[in-house]
Amino acid sequence: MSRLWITMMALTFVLLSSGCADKSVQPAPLQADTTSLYQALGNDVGVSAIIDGLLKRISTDTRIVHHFDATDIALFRERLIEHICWVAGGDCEYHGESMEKTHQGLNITQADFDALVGHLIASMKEQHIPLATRNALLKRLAPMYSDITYH
Amino acid sequence: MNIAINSFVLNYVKALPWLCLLLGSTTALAEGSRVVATGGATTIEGSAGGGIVPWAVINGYGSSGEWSATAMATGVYVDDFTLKVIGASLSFDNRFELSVARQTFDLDTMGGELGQDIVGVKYKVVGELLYTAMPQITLGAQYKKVDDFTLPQAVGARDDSGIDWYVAASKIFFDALAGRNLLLNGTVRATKANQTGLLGFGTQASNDYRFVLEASAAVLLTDNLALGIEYRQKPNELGFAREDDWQDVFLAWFINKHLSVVTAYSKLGSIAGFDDQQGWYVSIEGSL
Repeated sequence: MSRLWITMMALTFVLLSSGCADKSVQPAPLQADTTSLYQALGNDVGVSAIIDGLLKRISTDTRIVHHFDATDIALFRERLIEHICWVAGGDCEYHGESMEKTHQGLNITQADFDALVGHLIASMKEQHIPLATRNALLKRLAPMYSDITYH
Repeated sequence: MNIAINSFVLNYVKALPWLCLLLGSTTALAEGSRVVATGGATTIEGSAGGGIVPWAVINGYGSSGEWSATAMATGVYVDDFTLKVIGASLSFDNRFELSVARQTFDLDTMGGELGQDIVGVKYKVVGELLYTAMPQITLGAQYKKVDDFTLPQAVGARDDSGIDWYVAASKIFFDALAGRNLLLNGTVRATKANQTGLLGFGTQASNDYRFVLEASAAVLLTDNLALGIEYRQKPNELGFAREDDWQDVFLAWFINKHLSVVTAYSKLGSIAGFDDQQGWYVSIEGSL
């Protein structure tokens, strides 16, 4: 047995066991050591620019724009900026409802979610957010998939 | 090496009509919604994955309710053999995948060639690669049939066709290594294939399935570039020559959602009595 083989099997074990792990584990947005992610995103100015880029992309995406027909965009923008700030460990209070509640009845599909993730990544790239920072934010947002889709 | 590259180019040129056919006949297909690189590459057996290990990912970038199509050409150039593959796949709903692959295995030193056709299906059972704690898990099957059973039969194979069954689990861990995303994949395969089927299926002594483990790990260095390793355990049933496990180190460049290129260095061990077969792997894939 080569060392590579043992390493690969260990990785496989980690992978398989992660699927059996407690699924209630969620990112803890308000820990003190996470403030740096909000800073890395450029604080309020940076996060606002990312959200504006995201909204601009949504507005021209015929796949998903219809979900926002009845949305107050100004309020939505404010809540989104708050939410990202809160998720990234910034010193903000999120005044909106839970992800599950806000998406109730919208029947957001995986394709909708994927499209939004794509736009978020593109917007962060436009703001020159480094790869590691982008990935750190996605890590916190990705688990929201189950609360957002198919409700 | 020049010969190898030329023959790769020739191989790709042969695959171009497939790609054009796909491009032409699928104009209704918009670009898939999934994030770039999440479709993986295409294995030598036509299923989405790495180079030699099928992953739980579904080929292309189609998300829920979306179709995707891919076409690929691959060449593996080891010391005494050359494997050339062309293949194509059709996927729907990020759940179903149907693939075809045509393999030609040139016996450069011995003279002659072997070949097989492979039809694969894959079905996503549970999990989402990027989004759920549960890894994405798929079930797959690959029906394989050799072109000419003469040589496989002469070295002790029982059948000229067989079906591999596998279950694969894949997950991408965000921000896992120096801020990079990490993909891990584990696959368990039940197979009767000798040297993936090129030397037939089963032996005169046994017609039992063997279970083998396969695994891959890849770091996404950037959004578009993945560096990884793969290991594929293989049965060793034919008496006439030893069969070894396979491994490779690969670099995959997902140029965009329509084009990707994979290069790898592969170690295929002993094949038909020729020991320590090593060499380069090159693959190009187009997707819609």
